[in-house]
Amino acid sequence: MLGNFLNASGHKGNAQGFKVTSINKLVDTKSSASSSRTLLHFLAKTVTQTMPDTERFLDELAKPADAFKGACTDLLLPSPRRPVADSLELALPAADLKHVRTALVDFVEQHKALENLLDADFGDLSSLHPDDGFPKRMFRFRREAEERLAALKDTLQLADGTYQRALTLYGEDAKSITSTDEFFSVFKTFVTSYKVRPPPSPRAREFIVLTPPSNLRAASS
Amino acid sequence: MIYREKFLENIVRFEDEALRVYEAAQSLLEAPHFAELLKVRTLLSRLLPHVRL
Repeated sequence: MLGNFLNASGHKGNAQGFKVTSINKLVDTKSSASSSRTLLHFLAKTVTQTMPDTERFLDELAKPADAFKGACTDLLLPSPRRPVADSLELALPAADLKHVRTALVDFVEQHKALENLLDADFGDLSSLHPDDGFPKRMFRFRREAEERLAALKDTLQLADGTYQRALTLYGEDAKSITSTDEFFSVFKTFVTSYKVRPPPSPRAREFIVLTPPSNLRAASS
Repeated sequence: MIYREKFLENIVRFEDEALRVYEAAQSLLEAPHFAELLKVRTLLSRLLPHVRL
């Protein structure tokens, strides 16, 4: 953003938009008077004093922040050394469509194997014992599983489409953000920084002044 | 039967995961106050050379 100002007269300057990931750089822009004061403090102060209603953005970001569970990511990723069944067993609640896609493929493969098994072993119903409830339960389960897998596929498509729209709206793309988890981590980090920002020192507080541009021009001439 | 129980246990997790991504993304698409905050941030970035933090 500072670069936008400095490059304002150049062919790359005066950019109007920015990527949402840059909001976490607000804490990197520190005051010349006190390093404990950052641009995030100034933004928060501006919002609190002049437009307190805007702080409702914290409610709006609650679900995106909650969708990020970075600590669980490694456990969720299936690997060549970890069988799919084990990775599914270890899975912890985190929101990443990559995991869902992988799991859906595995589910479908396992379901095909189940279908083949049922057709091979229980295809001839007349040969089964009338009191044997196992085949009936498994055939019923097969139908239920088919419906659940179809519903999961639909939810995945809906989630992916909505996610892509959000990604575009916030100036990112699949090249800059490689996973849903990474995207939502941006909001988690920002919400955490905004809520827990340390208070500036009393001395730094005295320096919060807006210098009129006219004064600056007078000083530089 | 064990497969059935595992299937039912696991698919719930992934249904929940996909739903959470959908709801989170939808929240971002309908976030007027966050959009307002980003406007303020853009405004501040333009004023930054004139601001003493």
